[in-house]
Amino acid sequence: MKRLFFVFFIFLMLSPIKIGAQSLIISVESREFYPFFFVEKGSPKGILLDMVRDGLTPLGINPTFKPLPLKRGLKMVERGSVDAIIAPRIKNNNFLLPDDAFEKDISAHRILQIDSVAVTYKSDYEYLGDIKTLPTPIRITLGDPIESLFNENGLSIDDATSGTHNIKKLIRDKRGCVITTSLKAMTWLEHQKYKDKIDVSTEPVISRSYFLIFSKKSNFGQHKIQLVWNEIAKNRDDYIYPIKLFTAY
Amino acid sequence: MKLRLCLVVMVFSLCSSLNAKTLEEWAKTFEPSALSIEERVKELKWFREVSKDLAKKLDGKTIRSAAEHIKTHFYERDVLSEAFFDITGIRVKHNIIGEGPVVKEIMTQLRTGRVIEHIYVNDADLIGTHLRYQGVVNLSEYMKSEGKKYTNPYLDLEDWLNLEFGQDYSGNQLQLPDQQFSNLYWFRYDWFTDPKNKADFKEKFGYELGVPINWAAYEDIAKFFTGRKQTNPDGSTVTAYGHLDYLKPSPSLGWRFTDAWLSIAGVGDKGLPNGIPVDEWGIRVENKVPVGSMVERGGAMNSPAAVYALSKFMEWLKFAPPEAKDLEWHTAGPRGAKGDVAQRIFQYITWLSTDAFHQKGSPVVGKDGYPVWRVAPTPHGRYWDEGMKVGYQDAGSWTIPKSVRDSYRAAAWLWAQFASSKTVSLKKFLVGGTPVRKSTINHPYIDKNIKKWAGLIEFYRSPAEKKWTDSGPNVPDYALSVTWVANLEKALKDFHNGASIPELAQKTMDQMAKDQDEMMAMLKLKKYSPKMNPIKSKGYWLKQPGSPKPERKPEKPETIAYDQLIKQWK
Repeated sequence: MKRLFFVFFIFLMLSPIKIGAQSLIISVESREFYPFFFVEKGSPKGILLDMVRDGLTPLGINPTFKPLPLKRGLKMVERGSVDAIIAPRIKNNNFLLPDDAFEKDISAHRILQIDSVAVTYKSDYEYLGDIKTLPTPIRITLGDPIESLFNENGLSIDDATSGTHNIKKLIRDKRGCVITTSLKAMTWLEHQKYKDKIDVSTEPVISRSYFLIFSKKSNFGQHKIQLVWNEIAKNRDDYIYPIKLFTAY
Repeated sequence: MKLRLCLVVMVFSLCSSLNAKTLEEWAKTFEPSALSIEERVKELKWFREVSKDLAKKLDGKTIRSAAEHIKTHFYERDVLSEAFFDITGIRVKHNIIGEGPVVKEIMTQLRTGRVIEHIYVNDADLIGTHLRYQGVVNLSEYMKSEGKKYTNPYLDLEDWLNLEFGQDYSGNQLQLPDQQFSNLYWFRYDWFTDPKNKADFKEKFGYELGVPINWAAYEDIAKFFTGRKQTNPDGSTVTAYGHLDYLKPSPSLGWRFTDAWLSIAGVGDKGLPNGIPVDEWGIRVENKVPVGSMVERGGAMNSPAAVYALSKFMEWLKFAPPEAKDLEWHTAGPRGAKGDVAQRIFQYITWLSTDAFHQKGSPVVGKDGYPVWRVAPTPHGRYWDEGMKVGYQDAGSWTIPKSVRDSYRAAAWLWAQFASSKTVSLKKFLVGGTPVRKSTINHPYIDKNIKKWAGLIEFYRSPAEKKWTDSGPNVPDYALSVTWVANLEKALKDFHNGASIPELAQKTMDQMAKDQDEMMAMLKLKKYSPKMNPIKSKGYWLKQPGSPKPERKPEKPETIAYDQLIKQWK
């Protein structure tokens, strides 16, 4: 009997099912979108991941982040192979997004609003909202869904695996532009090598609410989903939380 | 259909342009002004000429600015932004939001680089934050370089009141004051000079009823008036309260303390505009680096003086109207005008411009149409020493985040200069009661109507005004104030549940100091980032000269006659 109990105990210890803690598999883009998401030494990291993790913790939920190319991640959410994905709004009958996701440009239940700006070589050019005026080639990071916006307008694109490659190319070629997050652009403006050579647009090329989009096929209940969105929003709008969050990057 | 639509659009545009005032008409609108009509036209013409190319470039765009909900900013939104558009062709949307959201928005913008607004009217209390984050435009540099072309030749920075509030340690202007608001002692002059009140007070307390110089006298006066029947100029008889305060859980509960309440109690060190090494928020700063709030680190946030500051706040609630628990800073602001409050130690002048304090028939306006209330210097606590700041004042200040660049930056800068220009400033003051220029305060129009402001003008004209200062550069991140709100809310809950005051105040300030230090230790700022001192015994620090100061005995109450005081200010 004692032996049986011991075997059962060992089984429990080794079991992937943790009693009291529900797990959740979340897909996140595998491209570099520093500091919001990126892969470092094989581990997915970033501000959006931290915010999702912190939103899930009070509910006793432990997320596992799976870095995948966006298209593949979306397919997996559609099939229910993963529970959720971190992405901008996407219309799909199999996805569960906050009610206001398509009504407002800045959703109340977003994880974060992220602006992408145009970084150009120092000149008189100023981006004022017309993407057709952007100097080409337009450099983006590989796999950025923003690509479609430029394709629709027939603008030539040059993609690289990281923003660092893009800014180096811009400095080298002295032409074209780099599309990056306002946060990343801010760091380049403080960088000794780049600060006197670049301009950053005030106006964003695109501003996107990033969401934790759930699969309708996930076993995660609608009520719990709402609680997670609420928790994320509460943290985001807090005064103290962002200090801790941004200090880490 | 298309033709009809075109016609409608044309008629609409025609109507809009017909409604637009000419530059000369606007110049006349800003009457009275520190400038003659010719000078106003000249200044406005400069704005028109310099904006021509910019307006073309920004055609169809809107400059977004944000400010808190006070009369001054409503005037900017409703009148000045319209004038600015008519004159320059640059459209401005001046968003009036609460001060809390203003701080939240600008901090989000600084952290993420995401442009939420192009310019903010942000309290200069955040100067310590801005100089450490390095996230806002250095206006001194901008005026000399790319912004030179867009800098008003008639700006006259020498004319500004307390320009230093918006400056970093090196005197660089990071924020340009737009409206100045002090926090003063407010009282019922008519009740204080009433012979019966004077005689009864003298008999009871053994000294003259007058403007309290210290908290001991303030407390005696509060005791004296609370429950006493008083009459108002409108004929109403009231049962008076000797004090007024607010304690509703809200960000403004934090400001009740962060707006120099600890300094007023005497927590800090000597030095102007802020005590060195310890002053605002009980933070010790060494070589511009914050090193701690706890007494154990050389700070003073849980020192005997800070405990005394919180204790008195709670003790005096018994002299205040019961609705104090439901009031915030903006609802408590005009509360004194109801006519049943004898004095208030912590009155933001921002609210003294509300109609209730001035209109005929108000319980606080005399038959001659002038206020029967006055403002006077803030009484100080028993830990206060000569050479320290006396009270709080700050300036909502134009602040441009670095993420706003090129044409947007230039347009935002023009808007800021226009809204605080000599042409408009006097008129703006008459509406909102928050001055920003010396030429406003010293204008003959103000001389003629000086009685209307009941001591405020004398205050601003006096050199003593320099002793009322803002949070200053000691505070490394204004968001630290959130720890204050959370701890104060808890303390007030315990207080209402009957907790004993000195113990509760000590426990609260201990926790607050610990929380603030934990947060400061976490900050990684670009300049002068906090570096916590090692922990030593409280006794060690309390034996050192200056702040943190050891326990002091209660002080002797002191008062001064208002009319004598005003002479000192002159």
